[in-house]
Amino acid sequence: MSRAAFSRLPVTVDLPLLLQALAAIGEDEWHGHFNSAYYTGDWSGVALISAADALTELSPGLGEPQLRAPWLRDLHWQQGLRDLPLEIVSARLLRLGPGGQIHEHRDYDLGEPNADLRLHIPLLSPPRVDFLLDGQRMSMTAGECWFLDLSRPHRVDNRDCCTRIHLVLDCRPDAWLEQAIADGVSTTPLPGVGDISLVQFQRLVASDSQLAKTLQGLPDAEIFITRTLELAAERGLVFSREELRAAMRNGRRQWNEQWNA
Amino acid sequence: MERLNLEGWLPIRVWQQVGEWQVDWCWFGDSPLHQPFFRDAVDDALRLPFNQAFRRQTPLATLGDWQVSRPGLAPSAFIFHASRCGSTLISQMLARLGNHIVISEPPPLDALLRSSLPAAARRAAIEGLLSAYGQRRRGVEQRMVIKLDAWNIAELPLLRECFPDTPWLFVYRDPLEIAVSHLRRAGMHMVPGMIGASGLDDGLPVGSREDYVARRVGRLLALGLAQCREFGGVAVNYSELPGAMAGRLAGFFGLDDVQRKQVFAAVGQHAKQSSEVFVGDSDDKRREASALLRERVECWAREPYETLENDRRV
Repeated sequence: MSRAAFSRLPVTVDLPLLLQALAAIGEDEWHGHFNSAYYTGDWSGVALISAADALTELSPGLGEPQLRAPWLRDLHWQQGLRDLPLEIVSARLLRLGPGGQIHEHRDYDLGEPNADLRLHIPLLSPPRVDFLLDGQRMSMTAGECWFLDLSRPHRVDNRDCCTRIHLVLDCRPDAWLEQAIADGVSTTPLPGVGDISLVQFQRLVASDSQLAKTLQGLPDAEIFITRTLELAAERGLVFSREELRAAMRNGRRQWNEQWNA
Repeated sequence: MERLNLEGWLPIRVWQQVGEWQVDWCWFGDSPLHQPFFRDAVDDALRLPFNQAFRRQTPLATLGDWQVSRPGLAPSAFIFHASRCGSTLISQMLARLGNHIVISEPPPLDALLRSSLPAAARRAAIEGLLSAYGQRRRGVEQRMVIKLDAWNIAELPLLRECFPDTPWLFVYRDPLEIAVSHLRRAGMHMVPGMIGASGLDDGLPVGSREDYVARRVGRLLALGLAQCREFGGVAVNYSELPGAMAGRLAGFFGLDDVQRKQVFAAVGQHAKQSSEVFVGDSDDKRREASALLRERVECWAREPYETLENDRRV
């Protein structure tokens, strides 16, 4: 049976301990994320466990997992995760500052057979952060533990005025973890609709044939995007070029990918 | 309630999403579908930014609602075929006619025919789907011809439940020539596992490529033969094409004298690669066949082919 695209694991982490450990991390320990082409704003991290041969603290490697200083000096990390019998090959804190955006991308390496499974444990999770997986908003709350299939298209938009920080674990797949993922599916909160304004505008276009006609007549993508944003804004619906582009990519993909199933 | 308006929209996909059947609608306006396959027409339509951002997704029941509010043309004919045997030539000849809607191998129809939907729901959905394709988007359309995927010959009885009186063709060809074509470039139904479970499956191990292709071709011809006998289909051999479009098939498709001439303007072009002129290639194909392929085709496909030929000559 194929694995779920996302699942909130039916496990408990000790959030207060993890937050204590987080508070002990100094500002100078945060490093800008290596993948600088794919984000705007503050996206930075701290490696707690990472491959011995990783080029930077936050980049992947193939070597043995090595426990890094922030993990070694603070037992709270281990204690906070004591109920999760995981084989962790990488543990990172990932921080997305207010207004920060991680553009849509896929982590293809996670889609390969026998790839690591990535878990997200939100530590600081302000309400106005949109984590969109396959266009669906993941309703993640601090202290939960989520499996997310990030080989699928995903992006993150922190619209809040507070910082978002997740503890991100890459784990070797094993029977316990597979079972926890499968068991979590039935109690996982339903995803919300991403990009409320864009969805509202799409509904509007579906019901207003004049509006649709205007946009149907624009074969050039750039002109189409500009005009769509204008027409939406006139109706009080604001979304970004990037959101619309992601929706367009998604629209092409839904058709193209059905043949690969 | 909002009035349903899908004018200019065609269903391009039906699929199940967390247990619920959904329809993906794409806007075509009044563009005729001249491409060899419906899929190509969708690829073209999806170049329009609007169709990337603003396609519509509805429940399956919308097909029925749209049919009630705006019934389309009923299908005038169905084209079933054994693949690689001239059915696309026929559909492309008809697509030249302004008064014809030609829908060639639409994936949603295959999805519904092979779905596990309850019989009544499937019937309603198929009727709604074809009514949506039968919309007179330009106002001049009078007839609609639907060409099915080759493997759908197994589902012909299901389609007959919806349209018991619609005449249908079964186009076929010497099985060795079909098999050679698939060995050159395999159709989807000749790649094990690619199309999922279908009426072509025989439960045997896959075996050699030659054996597999010969078995599937044999199964297509045997199904075509059985359905022709039971449901009164018109069997057409590739060797009759394109000439038959001026003769008995012109009658079958209801073409007048002017249209008989018009459809032949298409013959200068190869049906699927419009850069290649259509020429008979039976001799080439037979020369290319290996001894193994000949032997496997004789074993699996010769008999239904010869029986079809006998019936056709009667």
